[in-house]
Amino acid sequence: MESCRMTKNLEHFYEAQIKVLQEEIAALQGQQDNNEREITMHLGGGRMQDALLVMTDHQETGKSQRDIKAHLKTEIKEMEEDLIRQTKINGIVLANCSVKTMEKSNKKLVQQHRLTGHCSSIDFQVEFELTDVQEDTTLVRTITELNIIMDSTEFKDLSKFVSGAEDKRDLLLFFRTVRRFSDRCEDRRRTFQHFQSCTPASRYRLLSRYD
Amino acid sequence: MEEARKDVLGHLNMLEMEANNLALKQQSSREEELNATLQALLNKRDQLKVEIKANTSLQKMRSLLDQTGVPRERDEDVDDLEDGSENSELLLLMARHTQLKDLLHAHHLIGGYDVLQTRKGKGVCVSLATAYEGVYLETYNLEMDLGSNLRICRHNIPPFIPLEMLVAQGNMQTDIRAFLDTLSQYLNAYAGRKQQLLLTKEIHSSVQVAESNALCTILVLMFTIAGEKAGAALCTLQYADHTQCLPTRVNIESEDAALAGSPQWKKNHALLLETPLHTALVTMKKTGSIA
Repeated sequence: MESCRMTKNLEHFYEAQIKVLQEEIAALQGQQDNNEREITMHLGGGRMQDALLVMTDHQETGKSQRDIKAHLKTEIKEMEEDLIRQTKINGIVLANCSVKTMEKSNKKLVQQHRLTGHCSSIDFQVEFELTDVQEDTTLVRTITELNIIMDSTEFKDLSKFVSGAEDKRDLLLFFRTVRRFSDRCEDRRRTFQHFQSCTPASRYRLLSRYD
Repeated sequence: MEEARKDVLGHLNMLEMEANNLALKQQSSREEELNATLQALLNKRDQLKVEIKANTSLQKMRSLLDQTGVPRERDEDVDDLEDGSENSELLLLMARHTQLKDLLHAHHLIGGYDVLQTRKGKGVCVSLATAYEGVYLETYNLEMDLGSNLRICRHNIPPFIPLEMLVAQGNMQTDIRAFLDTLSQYLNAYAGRKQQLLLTKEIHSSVQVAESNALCTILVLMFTIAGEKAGAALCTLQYADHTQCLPTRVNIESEDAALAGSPQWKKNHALLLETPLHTALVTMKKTGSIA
């Protein structure tokens, strides 16, 4: 009889412990989901999963960590070269990019992107919300909000265009136009420099006439 | 009598012992079950804690990279994040990996040309993205030969887009980006006009599309006039500038000859020249011009 009562107590003890752990796990899971939403990073592919596993499992031998580092270094080098190519052909330098996940479900993904960079001497800061909806066989991608911040003092002609692009959420048009505008600014600057370089000689000739 | 009683007692004892044994066995297997569950949950919790710590370190490292550029491994802040230089280096590599991936994806999202080397550097492939009113539409692709002269060898650009003309008139050889920018302009304008037509068909079922061409530069629509004078009006839209989404000419005809000249329809005429078709029709319905 005594042993029966003790075992009952033990059972209750176990069950209570289990309940506490389940609640703790739910809280931790919530924390993990929240962290992933706040700063969403592209952790695609097996490489990153391996790396995370190695980081969290201290029993892994140094050799696999070495392999993973080597693989990461190779991919990083390839991506750096790729970034140079894309920067050159797009004529846009992207300095920083951060992503926040606002909503995530089987069929819908809403993410907020924040980009900073410049197009030759034109600095920009662009924030946009991207909504991806899985519809039958196709993925429909829409920009559901667009905010553009530019140094308006230097480029007053652009500010009207910029607010128009924001209203129509035309991210692509914004970058196409900024690029064309920047190319024209560059052409003007080069032309102006060319004429400036001609001035000293003509100024000398002008001054010498009044000696 | 005594013997029978002893037998019964003995039998009862045995039954009691068996019952006790069974109860004990059930208890112990129940205990084992609970213990196993407890262990599994403990493992899960510890695993989660460790994952969260690793992810948080990675996020911190990434934020550092974003702010300061690529730090040297032996940076103070880097050391603070992880004890053991082995892990710091791995963390740094992982953070840099995600940063590059994100930047490359961003180039793609802003309508970048996604240039790709093909055929071991002998060719190059570019993608031209189109979008209208925030909706990403078709992507077109071009593959070019990097011979002594740049030459387009493959593409999926529709035939009514003047590709050859743009190649001939443009400076593709010296300034590939200018060429692509112009081509992109044509493609995006086409995508915009096409989308306006699609939305018109979807939203405004009372409007009939009598005629439209593949390039969406000529559109003939039939409106049903609202009100007692329930008649029809034929509206022709011409888009002479193929790099634009708005018409250059609007012509409105009706059985009622005076209609086109009426102030309301003069307004509609101006509206159709300044506003995308599907949006203009919404206004025209609201003001009661069309059904």
